[in-house]
Amino acid sequence: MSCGGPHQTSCEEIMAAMLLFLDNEIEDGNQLQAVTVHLQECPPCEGAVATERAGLQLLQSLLSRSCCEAAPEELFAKVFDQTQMLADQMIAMHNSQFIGQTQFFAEYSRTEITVDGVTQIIETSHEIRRDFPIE
Amino acid sequence: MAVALLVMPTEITPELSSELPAELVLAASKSLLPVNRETESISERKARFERDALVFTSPLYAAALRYTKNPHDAQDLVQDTFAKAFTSFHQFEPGTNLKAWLYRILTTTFINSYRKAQRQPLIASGELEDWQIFDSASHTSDQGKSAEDEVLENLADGDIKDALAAMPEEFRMAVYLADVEGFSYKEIAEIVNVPTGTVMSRLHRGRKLLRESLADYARERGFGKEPAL
Repeated sequence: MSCGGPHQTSCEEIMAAMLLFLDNEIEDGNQLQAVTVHLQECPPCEGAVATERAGLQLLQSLLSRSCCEAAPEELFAKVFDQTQMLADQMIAMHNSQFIGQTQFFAEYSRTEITVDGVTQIIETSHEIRRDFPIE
Repeated sequence: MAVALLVMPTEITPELSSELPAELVLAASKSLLPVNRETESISERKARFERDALVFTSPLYAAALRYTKNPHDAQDLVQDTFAKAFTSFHQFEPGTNLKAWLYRILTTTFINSYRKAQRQPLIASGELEDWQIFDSASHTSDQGKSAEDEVLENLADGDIKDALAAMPEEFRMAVYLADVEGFSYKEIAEIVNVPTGTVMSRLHRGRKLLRESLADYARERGFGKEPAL
């Protein structure tokens, strides 16, 4: 595809960049300028871009027209309740962590008694837990 | 305050904002006010979530329908998405793209759980990474709308949904996210977690497939049999 005229950017390059151009994805200002200039100079490329753009816009409008279901009321209600439930759980967890201070005291003792070659071992352990609630 | 006014909420496009009630638009602009996530209480976070995130319930549901292809799973998917979004909402950076963040959770949740349950095959054919292969032969230099395009306009919504649903998942997602939701390549790449080049490839092939499929539907329905005068 070419109008036979000399272009700074070749028609092939324009065709390759068509998708990016139509999706407004050419970020480089110089590149965008090159495409714009080429399309002004080259009617065949301009026509190809116009056809492609019309086709794309049609596709987009067909899709947008048919794929726009509103969420059912019950879903709104479910999501709302779920958020409330999760927030309650978070608050409960948050509170349980800061309800007060807990201290643990653990004591362990081991006694070995050997009498006439016979060893007796006595082990004891106890734990004291003290909660200091915040009033 | 001047900054808040300059930066339009990215989630709300200008066309959409004109249709929204004033209090919603106000709420959206309030969402740009600085939020201290360190000191924010759970109740405050919940209020912020309800105000900023739950407005996307319907768009997410429509996307979930495209992903799961059935209303029951779509509802569950949206519910799961919001559960995950709320429990990690403190990690979301306010002022960045909330819509894309929610779509990413939706898509990841779908891929990780629902797709496995549905046992859907992935694309059988290899992906075209060279998106630049452009089928220029299929493009006439006719200006404006082709006869084929006019025929497609007569298609019923159900046919269009069916054609989209029949496409391989990767193409369906790319086309839906770009052409209905208007996400950029970069945003889609983040949502679907693939490189931008892959997004381009999927979008290019997906659109082509969809157009061909729609043309088939139109032929089956008998549209365009008689040449327009």
